[in-house]
Amino acid sequence: MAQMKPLPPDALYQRCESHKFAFHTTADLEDLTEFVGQARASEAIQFGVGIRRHGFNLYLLGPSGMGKYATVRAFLEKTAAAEPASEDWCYVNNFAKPENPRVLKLPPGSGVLLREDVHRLVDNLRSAIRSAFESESYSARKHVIEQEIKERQDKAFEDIQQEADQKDIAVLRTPTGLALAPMRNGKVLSPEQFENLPESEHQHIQDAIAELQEKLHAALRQAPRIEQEGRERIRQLSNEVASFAVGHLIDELRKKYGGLPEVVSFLDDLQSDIIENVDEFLTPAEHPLAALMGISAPFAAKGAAFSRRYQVNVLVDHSSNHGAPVVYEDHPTYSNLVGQVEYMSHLGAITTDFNLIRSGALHQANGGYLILDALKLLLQPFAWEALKRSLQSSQIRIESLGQMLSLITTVSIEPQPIPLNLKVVLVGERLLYYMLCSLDPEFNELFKVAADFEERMPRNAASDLLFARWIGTIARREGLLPFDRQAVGRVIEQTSRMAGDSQKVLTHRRSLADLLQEADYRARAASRPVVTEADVQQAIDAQIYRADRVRERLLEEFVRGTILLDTQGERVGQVNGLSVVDLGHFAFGHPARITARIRIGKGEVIDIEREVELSGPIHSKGVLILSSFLGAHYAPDHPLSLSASLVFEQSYGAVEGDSASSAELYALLSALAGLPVKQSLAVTGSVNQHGEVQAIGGVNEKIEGFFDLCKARGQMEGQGVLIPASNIPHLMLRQDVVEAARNGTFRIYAVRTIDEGIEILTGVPAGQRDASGKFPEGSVNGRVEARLVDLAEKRLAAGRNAEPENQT
Amino acid sequence: MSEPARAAEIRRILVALDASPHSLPLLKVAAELASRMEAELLGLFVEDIELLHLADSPYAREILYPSTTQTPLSRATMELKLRTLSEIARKALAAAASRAQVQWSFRTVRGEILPAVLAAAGEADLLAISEAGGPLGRQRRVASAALELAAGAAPVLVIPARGIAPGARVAVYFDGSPGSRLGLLVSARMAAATQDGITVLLGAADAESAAARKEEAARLLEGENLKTRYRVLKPEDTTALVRTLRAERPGLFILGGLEPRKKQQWAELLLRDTTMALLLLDNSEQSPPESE
Repeated sequence: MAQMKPLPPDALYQRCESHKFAFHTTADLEDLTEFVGQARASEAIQFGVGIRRHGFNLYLLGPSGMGKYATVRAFLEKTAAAEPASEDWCYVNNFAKPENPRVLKLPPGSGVLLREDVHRLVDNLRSAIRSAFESESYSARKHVIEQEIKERQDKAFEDIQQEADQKDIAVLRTPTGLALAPMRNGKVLSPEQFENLPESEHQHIQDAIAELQEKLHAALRQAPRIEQEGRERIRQLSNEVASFAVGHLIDELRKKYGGLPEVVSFLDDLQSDIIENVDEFLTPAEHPLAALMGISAPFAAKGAAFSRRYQVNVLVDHSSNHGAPVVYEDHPTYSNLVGQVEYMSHLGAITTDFNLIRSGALHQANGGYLILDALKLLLQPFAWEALKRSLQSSQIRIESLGQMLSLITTVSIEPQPIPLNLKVVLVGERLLYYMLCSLDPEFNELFKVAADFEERMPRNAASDLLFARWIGTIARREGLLPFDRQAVGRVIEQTSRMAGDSQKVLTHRRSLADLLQEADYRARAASRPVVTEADVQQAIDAQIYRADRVRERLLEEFVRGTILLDTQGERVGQVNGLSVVDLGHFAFGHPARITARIRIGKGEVIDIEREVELSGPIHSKGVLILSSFLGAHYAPDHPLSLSASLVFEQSYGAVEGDSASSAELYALLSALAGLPVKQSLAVTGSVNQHGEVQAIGGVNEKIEGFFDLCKARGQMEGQGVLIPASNIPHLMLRQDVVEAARNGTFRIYAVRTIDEGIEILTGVPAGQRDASGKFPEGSVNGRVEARLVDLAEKRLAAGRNAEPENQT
Repeated sequence: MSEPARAAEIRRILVALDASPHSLPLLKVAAELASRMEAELLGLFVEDIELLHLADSPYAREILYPSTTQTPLSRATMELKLRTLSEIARKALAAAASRAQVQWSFRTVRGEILPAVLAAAGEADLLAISEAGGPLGRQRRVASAALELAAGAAPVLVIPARGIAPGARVAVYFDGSPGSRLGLLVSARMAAATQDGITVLLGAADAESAAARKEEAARLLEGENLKTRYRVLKPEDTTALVRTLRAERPGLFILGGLEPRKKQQWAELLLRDTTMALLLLDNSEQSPPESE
């Protein structure tokens, strides 16, 4: 087998050919209007927004920071601008059923006009009604009725009074009614005076009093009927006068809102109610005498409460909007979503009316688009259910949460529901989408369009230019300096590194914007008019420096020898593996010593990490694959009679992933073959049952982690890393690593099989089975197979010797 | 205006109470007046001796209102009812005085109502009384007597039988006479507490004298910082008087000046046709109405 060559420097980093860009700076580029690298999501959004069918709402899925919200908002605003403005919605008093406030739909901007018109109308009515009721004509007619009623009542009582006077009987008011008593000379007789009267006189007085009492009784019984008749006639008169005073003013509004039958109907009811309650218009809004007496509150409250009944509560006002509304509700609580009915305290009681109905985001977005953060929505109690209910019924029904949960037992209102026609766009993580899909059947009915945002996009000359325009667009929107083309190239390279793929770039808007802003900061600090490549590099270095405290401390421990790891020499059964520590916003790689020990056994490979439950399931899977590979590759015809133990030395935390499985296998093979492994090399890659090395994640970080250690120790004498060949497209290594590779002080080998890897690590050919099925003697595989046969024979022998003892 | 209270010489206000619904508004107006004038409220409740005589009679029966049920009467029942009414009146007076923060006293006397009230009125500077309503009952004579009293020299505060309508403005008649000047000063004192100002009805036969009256009234009100409206009124035009007062809707109308007979006529007219409290002031020359 020929000596494998390390990868050339060009394979380690994919440079952006920024010199081929036709622009000088991003200021020369036009703004980007389409979504970058989001063809699928873009098509989904266009479809979802365009289709006007029930349930075709959208869910935008993808990691946070992708720019989903900004993207969809920009798209929706553009779309909505070309659509007709939505209607205004108002709540007014339902005079017949005040507990069910009435809803009015009006053309955009008309809600406020109606409110002002009605307010002005009521103001005008107050003076018009007063004028009418203060007119001589009304006063005279009312006076005639009152006088007539009074005369009818007085007549009856005056007749009785007259008759009583004639009969020397006094009519007295008692604290609780009326009484009759005999009198002489205008004074009531005392009991003694009465007793002194002749008996005949007694009888005469008693008869007179009895007769008068009957008449008085009849007159008193008649009085309320006469009063009632009087009140009715005055009421009719008041209605007549009020109708005259009110009619022509309301007619003007009827004419103005003639095209809106609902408003005209409301005005009809308004007129009827005003006429019915005309007395309230004749009372000042605040009881002035009460103010004079310093006890204004109850009277003032009464006046204010009455004037509220004719107000127009403009729930949704689109007077200043052009096009359909696009609303983003940042805090999607139940109330913020579907609106609420507020309460107020009035004389110690909690009350409410239609004026206290408050709109929610659904009202504001009705006729347009509502954008919501899915996680925030789901975290709010009852909000998700309320949204689904509204979408399913296509109407917004405001229900007090307090009433719903029986927390409030006061009188409440049930406003008439408002028809709902809008497009809801949920923005959230993928996991949330998949969970909703599987756990909430209604979700699939209501959110039929998923727009899946792609985190990466292919990297080529065309996409580089597109990306450059995106950089320019962000720079302009964020008020950043223009980026020159070399800076753009460096940004593209860095996003490619962030994507972990030399053939892709990351489309994560927030990460990109953060980098651009920091580069802009560096350029401004250096008083440069444009952002240069140096500024971008400074920004990248600074980002890493701020985040790599842990990496530095770990590296220090390696250098000081606290963590044992050789970067030169050779050791049997010991391989340098590589692992990655992910701190969320920063990841770094570091080597780890993996050792293997062999002894006779029953064919088990013991992973010490797994035994102590420090390994994850994927890691355990990788180790089990090793057993399978050993058995199938080296001992197809005899029992695998070894007991091997594998360990990540000085590892005190959990180990997960199978990227160290090839390293573990190399350690096992070294231990079995008795061949030392070069400690100047580190290994990464998973392995399958056929001995093929498979791709792993974090390849760049892992290589750099070993490189940094070697460099820190000053051991750059051909050290290197073995990586899976399938990871070559992912290489976007730091420039110092590339440079070291160029001058041969650090090497990166891409291997496809375990055989290729073991040859590099041991310097001994792996060996292939010959025609007789034997591995060449002295080869790695030959040595391994021989050792396994030997172990099997020894185990067999040990078993035979043990048999007699067992039989006894 | 330096000493309007002294000018008015109203230090004691006698409120004739009968615990009827009319007493409450009467008490409020009287208490407010007492507060402005720094006067004391003297509550008076008269246990009508005639009712007790009636109750002593073996045949005495009462027709209860509004049920019109007939029920026998006894002295014990009547005395209990009168004591109850007296206590209600006392409490109402105490509450009104407390709100207005004025001193007060209350007494109950037994006797005939009119002589008792008129006798007590002699001890006070102002008699406050409500006009009893209806054509029946001898008590209505008290209000008529009070008006007669007012026609003479005694100041009287009276509210109509039908009650008073809301209205914070104070209206005052001003014809340049000493009584009307006093009325103007009292009205300024009353209106000072509210933002509603006063309406001055200038009694003048022609435009020239109206202007003179207005100038004089303005001079008297100078420095009071009141929102003042002036309305001109021919002294003989009672229709215009009623119309103007209805339009202005005052809570209180202060009527000084006028000769006694005319004042009584106006008062009777206003009690019949309007719903406001009337303060009828003395028109004698004794009061020093000049302001500083």
